[in-house]
Amino acid sequence: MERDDGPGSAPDAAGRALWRRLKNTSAAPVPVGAEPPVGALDLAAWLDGKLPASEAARVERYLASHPAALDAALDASLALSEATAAAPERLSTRAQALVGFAVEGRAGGRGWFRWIGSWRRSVEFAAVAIGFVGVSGTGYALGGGLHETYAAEARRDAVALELVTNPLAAFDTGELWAEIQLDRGGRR
Amino acid sequence: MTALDDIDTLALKAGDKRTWHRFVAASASLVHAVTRRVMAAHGGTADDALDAAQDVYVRLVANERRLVQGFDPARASLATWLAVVGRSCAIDHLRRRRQPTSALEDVPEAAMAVEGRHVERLNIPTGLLTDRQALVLKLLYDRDMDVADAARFLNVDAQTVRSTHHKAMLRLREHFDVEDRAGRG
Repeated sequence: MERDDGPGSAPDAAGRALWRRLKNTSAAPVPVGAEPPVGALDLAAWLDGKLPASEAARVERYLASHPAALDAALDASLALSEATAAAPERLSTRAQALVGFAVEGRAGGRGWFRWIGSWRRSVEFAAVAIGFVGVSGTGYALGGGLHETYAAEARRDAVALELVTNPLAAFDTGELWAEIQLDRGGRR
Repeated sequence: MTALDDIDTLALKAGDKRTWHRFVAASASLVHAVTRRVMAAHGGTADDALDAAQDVYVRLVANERRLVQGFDPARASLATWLAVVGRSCAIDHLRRRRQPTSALEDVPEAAMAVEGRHVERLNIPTGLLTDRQALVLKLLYDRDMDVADAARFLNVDAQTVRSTHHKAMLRLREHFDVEDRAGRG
């Protein structure tokens, strides 16, 4: 059985009238530095009942004078008791896919060095570099390598030089000369 | 299913994929409940609530999980912290849909949870009511909460709320009696 403290222990019309009398609502910006803001962790700790008395009093003072903060606390508190229904499957599926993708490392203008310095970017660069070297090496090997290339080039240079210095020697006239000799002999 | 209390928060902060999967599975119903509540209060649809819930997760992982890095398991439970942060993300999601502004994950944690700029002062001398008494009166009269709901919100029993209300009323009556007598005199 609950104890009653007598008149005024529960909200009533007299209490409501008194409350209206003492309220003086003003929509004014909070002076900077006048009241330290209550952060998410402070509010969560207060909702969990984990704050020491002095800290709890500060949060309660803040909630009593900041309607939007009280809305946030009430919403969070009620959501905790309402979170029994399963969320749609697609929410979990999409959310689970977030880690490891670009959105996770969205830099928001933190600069080149951070972008280059991130390990994932480094791995990507390394993979591309290894691929490039692999393709180049394979193509080079299939083409015969450096020795084959230099040898072919040297042969072309030698033929060109022979053509200039000794044009007749540049051609293989052996067979032609043998045919001429044969013709002469035949006529004999 | 894993409970949020069982999530390894260090691994979560480090971006471990398996931990993130378990975290999402354990938190989706809570995050969705928060965004449903916010959207319902602002005329949003079920699809809006789902979009906002998705956005909560995007913000949690953005900027190398900056929001998650702000969580301290020694101070609060992961579920309660997520409810508060999820609610702020949902409000921010609504604002950004209306007009572009700075993203929540770029705002310092200290300025994030309580976005109220309107201040309500009571027309009484400072110290007349304790902080708890002022909050109880606000819940009972401004928010029209019943004693049981206010007690649940404050993590106390209903009798404590009644007692707090009673003491606050006594102080206020005394104060206004003195004020009225002074006014008549």
